[in-house]
Amino acid sequence: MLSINNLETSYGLIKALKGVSLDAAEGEVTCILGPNGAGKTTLMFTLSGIIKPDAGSIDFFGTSLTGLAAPKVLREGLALVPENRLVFPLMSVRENLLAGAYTRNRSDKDEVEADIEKMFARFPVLKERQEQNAGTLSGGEQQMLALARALMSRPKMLLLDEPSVGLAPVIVNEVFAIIKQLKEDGLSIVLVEQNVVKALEVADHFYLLDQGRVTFAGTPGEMENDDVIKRAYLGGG
Amino acid sequence: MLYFLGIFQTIGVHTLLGLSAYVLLLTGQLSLGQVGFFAIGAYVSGILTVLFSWHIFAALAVGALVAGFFAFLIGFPALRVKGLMLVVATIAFSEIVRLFFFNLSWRVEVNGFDVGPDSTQGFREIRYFAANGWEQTHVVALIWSFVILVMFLLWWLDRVRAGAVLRAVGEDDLAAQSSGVNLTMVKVAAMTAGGVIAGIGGGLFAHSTTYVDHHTFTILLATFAVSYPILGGHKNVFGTLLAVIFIQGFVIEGLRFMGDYRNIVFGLLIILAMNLRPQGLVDGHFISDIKKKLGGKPKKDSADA
Ligand SMILES: Nc1ncnc2c1ncn2[C@@H]1O[C@H](COP(=O)(O)OP(=O)(O)OP(=O)(O)O)[C@@H](O)[C@H]1O
Ligand SMILES: [Mg+2]
Repeated sequence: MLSINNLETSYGLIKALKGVSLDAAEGEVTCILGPNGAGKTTLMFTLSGIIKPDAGSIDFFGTSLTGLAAPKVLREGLALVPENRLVFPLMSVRENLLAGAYTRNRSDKDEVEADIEKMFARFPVLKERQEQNAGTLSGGEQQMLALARALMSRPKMLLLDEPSVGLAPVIVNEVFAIIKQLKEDGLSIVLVEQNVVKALEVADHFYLLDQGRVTFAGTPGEMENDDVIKRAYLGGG
Repeated sequence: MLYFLGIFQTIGVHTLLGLSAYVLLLTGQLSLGQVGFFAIGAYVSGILTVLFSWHIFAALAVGALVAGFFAFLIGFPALRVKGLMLVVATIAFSEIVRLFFFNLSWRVEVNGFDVGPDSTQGFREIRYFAANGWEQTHVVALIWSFVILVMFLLWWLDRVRAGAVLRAVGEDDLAAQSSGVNLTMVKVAAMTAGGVIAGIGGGLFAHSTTYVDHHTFTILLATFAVSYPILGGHKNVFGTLLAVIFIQGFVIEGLRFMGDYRNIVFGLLIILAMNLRPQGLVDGHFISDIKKKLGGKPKKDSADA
């Protein structure tokens, strides 16, 4: 379980997170909504140790992650799939998957190979293209690869930053089908998403982030009945 | 014969310079600072053999370490700048180093002669090899031992996980971080390794030419340094060696009759190569073609997937 308390993060003089508190429960999908520039990516970067917070605390299954560097956070079991499906474009699909296992022990070689086979079972398209450079994959395939790469670290919780953005509706459905499967397999997920209709299919909890602050927290039912959110995100009155 | 030995020396020294830029390029850092580290290695090791009568190996080692130390220090601020800004910052560094040695005057009497860096007059008495009975073939052998050693280490690095981590940082540092790579450590380590390699190259250069001055360490040399791995491709160390042989052996020596116009040829070549072979001369296809010709199993690519 992930518990964030009063997290503040800034870029120089710009404060991007102004005291964010939220919880993400084990085995659930916690969805973070918010307009562009709300600070969603900043929150993901702060959680995964890529940027350091100015204040506040991050607690993950009883361990404090506050101020830990990225490799340590990943070793604790919190893995980020960054926005814009960042893959290593000149590496093969297989090498990309191996990169996801950098923080694992070298002695795990056989297990890492076994995990790669598991990824190929989950994402058959990656198996077909395992020797191909990741830069030549389609957007949807790259998103699958970025997801699989993060899973290669064997995380307890996955942070997904806008996995559906810029993808065709069919592919978006595939991405969400994968998220559902991962949830059924017991993985905890924090999902940053703009596509509320799709998010409603998988999320157990919602938070709305706006200008660096949490402005709403609730269940899917509560969210659907919230006037402000209805107008802004569900296109209804 | 002496003429060819001279070319071998130049190619060897430039290969070290190119490899020092290669390491950085792997992590996506385009540096024009390699000439600065090269100059530090040259002056420091020269000062040690000439003014303090050190053995060449000790002097080369300390020259390389001092260059590596400065590279390590430069590595931290360099983390904060990328792309063009890093190019500009490293040019500034190289110029600072050059101007420092341009002004450095440290004359000492050794065996009845005044020796040492003489600011604008340069540093003209780096005659360790001649004074200790080394023949030019020995010098060439020494230079190439280092070239082979460094090439072997870098080639080996590419076969282990550390090499993959360097490349991961070069391809996308954010993706690398989210895969648990310690960006600071990797980039600073690459900068330091590049500094050490350039420092050795500088020390060998100073002792094989017997004199250096500030004209030696200009931005032109820094441009050569980065162009080797760019032209050769950073898929593999041999590309850098081929690029040096081509540029130094063919463009600079072969076209000697063209005088300074060769620099224009050099510039045109870089533009041409970047357009025709953006991955460098020795790219993945080149390597699998060679493997095919040698009868090895070609790397499976998209076509048969
Ligand atoms: N590297 C940076 N330097 C300075 N300011 C930044 C930087 N990155 C983000 N910001 C600012 O921080 C705020 C939050 O940005 P962030 O990327 O976290 O938003 P987001 O919610 O992820 O937006 P989007 O939906 O567009 O991805 C914005 O005002 C943005 O301009
Ligand atoms: Mg974002």
